Amino acid sequence: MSVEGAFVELDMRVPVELHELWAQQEKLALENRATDPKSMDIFEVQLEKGIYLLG
Amino acid sequence: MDYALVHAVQHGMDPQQKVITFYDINCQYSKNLKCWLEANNFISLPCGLWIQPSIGLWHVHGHKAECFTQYAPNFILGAGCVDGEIMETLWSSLNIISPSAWGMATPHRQELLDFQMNDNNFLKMVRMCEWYHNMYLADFG
Repeated sequence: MSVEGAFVELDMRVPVELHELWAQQEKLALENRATDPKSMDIFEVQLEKGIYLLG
Repeated sequence: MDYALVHAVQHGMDPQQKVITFYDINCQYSKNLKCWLEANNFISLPCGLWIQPSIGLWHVHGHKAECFTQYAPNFILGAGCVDGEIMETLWSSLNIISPSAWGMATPHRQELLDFQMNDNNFLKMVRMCEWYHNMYLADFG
């Protein structure tokens, strides 16, 4: 499978609302990066480590 | 560094052209660059020019985690697939002449290196067409 094909398949599994939110966040981040590099932080992997172990 | 940057962006450039600079510590260097250069009476950036700062992939991994998304070329539209580590790789061809420099005094060494680097730049310029042609063939040929 081509890279494009694999991406489309993955993209199809994302709920529409989430897809729209991410697209909006991406657009905003790229527009604002010139004045505020921190806007790119949304591309960081966001995981809460050990959330189940803490309880 | 400021001098080299200003001259590089003024060399045959259209101010509307997008510029990406790769520098090992661009996250710090680009912070106050504009104010810093505006205060300089001798050098200035072309009016309206906007520079997208970036850090080469090898160096960016030695920075804080957030520098990766903020400065890695992977996240810059139009940057393509580049590592952004350019300068040092160009010096490897000078290794061939280094044994001849061992016995030289400093001014002689400087002359030798200047000559070799000039020749290197000249060849880069005259062979650019051939290089792009080969890159194109590798990608689409």
